[in-house]
Amino acid sequence: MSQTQATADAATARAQAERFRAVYSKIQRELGKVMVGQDEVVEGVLSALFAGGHVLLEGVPGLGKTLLVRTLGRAVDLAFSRIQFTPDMMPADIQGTMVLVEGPGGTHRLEFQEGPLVANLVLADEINRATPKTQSALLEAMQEKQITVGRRTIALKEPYCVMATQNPVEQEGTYPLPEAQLDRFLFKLLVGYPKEQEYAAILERTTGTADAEVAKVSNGAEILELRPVVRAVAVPEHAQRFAIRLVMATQPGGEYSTKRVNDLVALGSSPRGAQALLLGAKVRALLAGRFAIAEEDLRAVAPAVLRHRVQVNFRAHSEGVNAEQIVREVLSKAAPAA
Amino acid sequence: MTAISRAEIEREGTRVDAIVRGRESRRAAASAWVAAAPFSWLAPLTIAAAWGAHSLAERPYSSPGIVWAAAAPWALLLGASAVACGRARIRELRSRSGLVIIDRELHSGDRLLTADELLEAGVRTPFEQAAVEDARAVLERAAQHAPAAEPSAPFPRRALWMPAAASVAAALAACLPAIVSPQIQLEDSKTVAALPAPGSRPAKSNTGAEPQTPPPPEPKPRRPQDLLAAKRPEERRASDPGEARARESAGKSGEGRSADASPSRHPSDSLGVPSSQAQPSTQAPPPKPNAKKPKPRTPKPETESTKRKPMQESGATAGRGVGSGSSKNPGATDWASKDQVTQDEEPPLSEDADIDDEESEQEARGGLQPSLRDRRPAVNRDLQIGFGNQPSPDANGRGGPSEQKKSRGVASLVLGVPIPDHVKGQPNPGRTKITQERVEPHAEEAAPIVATERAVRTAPIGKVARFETEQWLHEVIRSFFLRITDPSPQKP
Repeated sequence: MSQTQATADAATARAQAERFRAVYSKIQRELGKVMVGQDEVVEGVLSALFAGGHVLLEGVPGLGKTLLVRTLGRAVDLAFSRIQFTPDMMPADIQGTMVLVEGPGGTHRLEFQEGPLVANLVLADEINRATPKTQSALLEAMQEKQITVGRRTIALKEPYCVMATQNPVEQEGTYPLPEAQLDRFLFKLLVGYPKEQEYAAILERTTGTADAEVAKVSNGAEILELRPVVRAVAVPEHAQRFAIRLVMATQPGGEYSTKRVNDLVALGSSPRGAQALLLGAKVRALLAGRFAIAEEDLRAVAPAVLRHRVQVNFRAHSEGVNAEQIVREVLSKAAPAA
Repeated sequence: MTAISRAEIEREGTRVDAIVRGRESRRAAASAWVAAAPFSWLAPLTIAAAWGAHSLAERPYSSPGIVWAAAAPWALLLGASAVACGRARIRELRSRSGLVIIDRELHSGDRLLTADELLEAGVRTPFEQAAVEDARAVLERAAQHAPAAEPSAPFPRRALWMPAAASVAAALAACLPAIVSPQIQLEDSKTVAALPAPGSRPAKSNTGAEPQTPPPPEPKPRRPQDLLAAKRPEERRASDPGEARARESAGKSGEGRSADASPSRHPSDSLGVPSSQAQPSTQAPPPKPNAKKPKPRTPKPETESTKRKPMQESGATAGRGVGSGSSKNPGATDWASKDQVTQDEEPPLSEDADIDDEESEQEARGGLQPSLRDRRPAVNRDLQIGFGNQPSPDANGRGGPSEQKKSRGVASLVLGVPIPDHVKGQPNPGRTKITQERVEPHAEEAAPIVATERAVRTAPIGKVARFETEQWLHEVIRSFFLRITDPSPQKP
């Protein structure tokens, strides 16, 4: 590669990265008109959207989870649908079903009516209230970006992003998500209570007469154009090695796992965890103005990536240790791979 | 933006790593000094141990000897520090280590390390090229940056006063023979020689005028066995008066003998064991008998099998007998009684496995069949139809046609079709006998119960059986359920 060509390539990469940051900032600004605080959650949701992943939002009711996703759908001009999961919901309710339609001249024909899964941005509210049968209907949509009803397979339009919410309390009558489905979420974001100074802004915006106007600052096509930019971010060897060791450190009995992990963890992260680590780190590196991921990016996204992929055992439950603490411990003991 | 070469990056990394290595070696030297400080006392101890050495005794006031002794602790520490420093310096310089330090201190997001790795692997994509070019600015900043020194552990004061004190002690130890030897000269040489100083040699006078004679060999402490062996020839020679006198003159004063070598009067004394083993000691616990006392045999509690045996032998309660049907059932006939008789003669069917084998054998033959244990021919159950009202000659009243027809389902309805009637199940070998009696119902009179209002029970309900768990398990289960039922949201 000649020096001129290399310089031109680098300039192209800089321009793409600059555009990415600009679009990201515009969307973030629009979300900020409605959402107060929750910066990490907003950043995680946007990162997942650009990385092509799905998000599991966990938080008690009333923290603006639904509002966030709906506002995002408006800001990026994507088809938005919301599913409120209940125990009696069936797969056909979310995928779609054949309905009898009356045609001209009194004829009748069966026509497929799409369910709410056929959209760009799907908010699966209280996903753990649905039965495993209905939850599993989401698997194909999340992984293969398609749904199959009978003999009909419908490809879902990109960008396709499922944002599911679940309540950490009120576990009566819920069906915890199986590991296979949890693994398909790129991030699990914890939505916490707002800070004291944020309450004033929340009350002002929600109890006053003024209504926040959310502009359409981007669209699905632009997001699709920017996704390859995210994937083009370079991954140096030391960062890749660090991500691999981080994932292996969560696996009990693994080469890099500590005694505490061996004692308290029932199930560690899968290779999907390493993929998610790199994708999340790439978005973060771009936002930090870098063209290659660094160890600090991996450390920053690791809790969101790994906390739902690590399953603790009974002993951990009895000692009051949760997966979040395990991931933090693994991070604190992970040595740099350089 | 100007291109960046890998050599530049490596040079910078190596420079920083060299600085770091120098600090490491100094830190290692300091650590070695601190660790070796207590060992500086080895020098005065060694000199004191060599208290009787001629070289020191002869030149007590020689200033070079004292100086060397005082310098010994410091030399020891310096040597240890030098070794540690040298070992730290052996490490090869690694440019990557230096790059990691620069990246961390400049908060550059691993830009230098990334550029180094990408250049080593070969730049392929525009983003990689941009990442390499990104390292230029960091490299320029790194050239003017010296790595921050890591806060080292505080140097303890004892690491300084310990060798200093050891140095003074070593100098004093070097002077010690000169201080002590004049007193020794005043004493009788024989007495001095007899001083019990185990592990030390008798001191000599400072004059050095006396001819140097090799010191007498130290009497070795003798083992009790040797003493015992030595005593026997002594006793044998006790008849020799000359020897006895000589021994008496030399042994009364006890001079020239070590305390260990003094003869004992009794072999048990020299052996150092109590002469009488049977004597009870007030301090020592009484000796345990070697053989354990045989435990009194207690009659074994009856096992479950032995308890169950009579029940099984009774047949009726062993569960093998199955009562079925009415009194007309073949099981209640003589056949059963015969079977009961034969059962007594045969070995008892104590094992359920026998029955299982039998059943499996029957299944192998195509289904359940009457038991062949008694070797009796099966009852003829052919439903041959007689002619007219004449009964069949083969009818025995148990299945064949007779005047009083015993219907057996389909087979009896299909005329002229001989269908063998299979009796399913096992014939009852037990003593179960069912008799039916006709009893006229009669009214029973009972005293009427007056309805009263019953209050809540207040008396204790008595002891209720409860699953007892061990304390630790109880705590685990309790804490587990407390936590999972804790209504407060878990902190992330």
